Amino acid sequence: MAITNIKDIQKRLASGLGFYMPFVTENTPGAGGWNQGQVEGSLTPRIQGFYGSTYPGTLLGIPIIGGGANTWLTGGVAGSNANAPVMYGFFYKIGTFVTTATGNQFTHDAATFPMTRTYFGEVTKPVCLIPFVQVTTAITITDPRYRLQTAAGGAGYVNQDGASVVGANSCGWIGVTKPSGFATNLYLNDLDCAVQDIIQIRIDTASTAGACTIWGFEPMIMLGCFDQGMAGYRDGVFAGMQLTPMSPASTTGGSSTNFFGGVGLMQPDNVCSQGVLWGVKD
Amino acid sequence: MALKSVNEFLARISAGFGKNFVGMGNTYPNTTSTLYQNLSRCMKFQKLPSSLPSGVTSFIPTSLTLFHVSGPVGGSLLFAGVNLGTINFGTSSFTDGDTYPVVTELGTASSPTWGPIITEVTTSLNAGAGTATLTYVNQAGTTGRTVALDLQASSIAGSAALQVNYSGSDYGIRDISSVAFSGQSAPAGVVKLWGVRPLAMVYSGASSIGDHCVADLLGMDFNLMKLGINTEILLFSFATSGKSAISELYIVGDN
Amino acid sequence: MGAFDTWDGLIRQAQNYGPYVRSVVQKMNGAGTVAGVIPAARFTPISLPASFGTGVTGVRFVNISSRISGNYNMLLVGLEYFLGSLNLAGSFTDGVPMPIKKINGESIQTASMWTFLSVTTALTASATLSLNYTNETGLVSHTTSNVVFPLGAPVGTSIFLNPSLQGGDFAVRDVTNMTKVLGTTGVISCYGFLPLHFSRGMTDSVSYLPRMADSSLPFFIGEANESIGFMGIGREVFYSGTTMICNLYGLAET
Repeated sequence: MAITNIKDIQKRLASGLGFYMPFVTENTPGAGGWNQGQVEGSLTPRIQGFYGSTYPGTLLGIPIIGGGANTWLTGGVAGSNANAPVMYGFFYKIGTFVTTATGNQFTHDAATFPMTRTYFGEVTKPVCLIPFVQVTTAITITDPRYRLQTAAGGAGYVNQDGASVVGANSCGWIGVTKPSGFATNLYLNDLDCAVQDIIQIRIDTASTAGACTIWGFEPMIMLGCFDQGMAGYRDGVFAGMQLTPMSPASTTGGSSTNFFGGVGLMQPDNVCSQGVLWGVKD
Repeated sequence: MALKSVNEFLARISAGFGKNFVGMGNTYPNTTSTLYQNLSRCMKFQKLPSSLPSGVTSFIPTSLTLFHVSGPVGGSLLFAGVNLGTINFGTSSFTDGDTYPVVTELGTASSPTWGPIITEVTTSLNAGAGTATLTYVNQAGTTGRTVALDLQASSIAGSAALQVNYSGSDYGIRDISSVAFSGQSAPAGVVKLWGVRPLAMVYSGASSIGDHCVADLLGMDFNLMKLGINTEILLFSFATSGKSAISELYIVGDN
Repeated sequence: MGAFDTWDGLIRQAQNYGPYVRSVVQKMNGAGTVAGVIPAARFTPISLPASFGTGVTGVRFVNISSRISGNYNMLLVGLEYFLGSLNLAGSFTDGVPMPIKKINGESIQTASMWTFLSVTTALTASATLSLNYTNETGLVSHTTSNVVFPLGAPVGTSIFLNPSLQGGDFAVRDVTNMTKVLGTTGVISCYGFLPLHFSRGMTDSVSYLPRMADSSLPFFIGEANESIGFMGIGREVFYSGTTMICNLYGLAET
């Protein structure tokens, strides 16, 4: 039954028609510096998985304890042992690519994108995702270069508006060997802010080793402070009205590989975040 | 009808009428940045729908959260943009856009609004772009006012500037009527002129490790505004060098 | 319960009457020499609408955000009142007294604790003047000490008047005369402010909080045809190119 008011939320939390989700996450390793992508307009986030994750092989998501279908995230609190504001949300595996050969090297995940949700009262509407590239096999110098387009120069991604776009920017990494786990965001065309899907990635300059996974990130809540020892608190009613569904979006076809984790920017290695998320059943 | 309480907003979201607009953006390095009025475009959110979904009368932003990488000193401005027009220096032409909107304001229907101009460089200007002189309607509705566009020579795409000069004692514009060009030599460059309907000004520190900010638009940063179809929501930073950001803007469909 | 005592009340006022939303950008023109103990520079004020809808008596600014350039500057945003002016080649022109405002339903005769002298026609030589005024308790014919404006002060050069008030006075209700001690040509005007918002320069922007926040500051309601003034205060405020941006969000006072 739909939420009707604030007291309704409080009553559901009191009577057990909700959830409290404690979590501990740790960030991916990022030896080689956090700012390697900045020259090309990129961010270098730390993808945070559940404590115990082995990057990139065993990336554990935060267990959705009590959450799931027909639940709403209504608040949370988290802190960390370092300067670490973190956005928490769902990661959807879009596909993988290798950097060891030129030409089309992207393999899409079995799930059919776009991911969909109900928005503004309309069902099955496409979800916009922030694309992150996570290194799964360490990339060696010579630095590979790639573009979000096909070998023939066709569209490489579907942007936030649903348009198929030929990625204009030469992307890559700079200077140092990128270890397994290292992540950057994809460098989209000017004025694009997100993707609905990735179509193809063309490697223009190959490296001797390297493979990546592309995750689409759907942020749900931002927590944490930029000073260690402090905790960030967010209430979905009184600190920025925003209730988000505590379940992954639906695929257009097939089953998605997804997990609930975090994105923290500019953090040093070996940072842990810990906190609690809470919400109610619909 | 219109949503008229916190509880009504909650119920509306629970009924599936909210949306999280997510995105990332890069603020672009600006040109000679000795003047405060330089800005950098950080992000354009996904444009609001081109038609009203059934049962939705307008779109109300309620919450903004923002990560900055090495936060721009002084923060960022989130606003609903008014497309005032586009200037093509290369063809010495002006494509007119909209006026500042006429709205119901303080109980008065059809009130004209006014505001400043943010000039966004969409194609880099060269040294020969010359000067664009705007003819505009001022805040009081007086036509035929003129002023040169405040824009640094050779500004690169992604950079932006606040228009800080007006004619005489004017302090805002309602509309741009036409543009005249002078001092051009093999000019190139395109700029878009934005009117500003402010949603939030968020501060982020100069931390070199990233910073975050939140605007609570139904609470401590109260700024309830009803936006229409096709509205473009933009985030510009008071920054003079490239910064990146991840952001989410939550919007509720009004009834 | 009043319209502004709950978040729901703010939402209803916004939805029922439509908010007043503006962004104001201005630059200080012309370099000048800072003057006075508290140097300042006056930007151009804006005018509120000449009338409001049925049942609306004014605008309550529940959210103001702003920035002013310069690390040593701050910005005062407030309701601005022209109290009088002195033509250095002529005579005194009287303005208006500070208004009566409703604060929590009670009519209060306000007095300006933020009073400024501003050059409104450029000075051709340094000028010295003094003022006669009515203080905050209604005592008339009080006199300021002499206030000095530097040589060639351009339009906008301002001086915070309060340090020059007669001993024991806090504020100004009305200016009754302005007397030239030294000077040739130019006009110096006196403005009183009822403050709405303050911000610091360059690295911060402090919003005036909505009514729901704990605040002992009074809400001043903007009425028809009143002016919102912007006064930059600080030691770098009069550098050419000092720029401000101020976002105003107001709701109908009913």
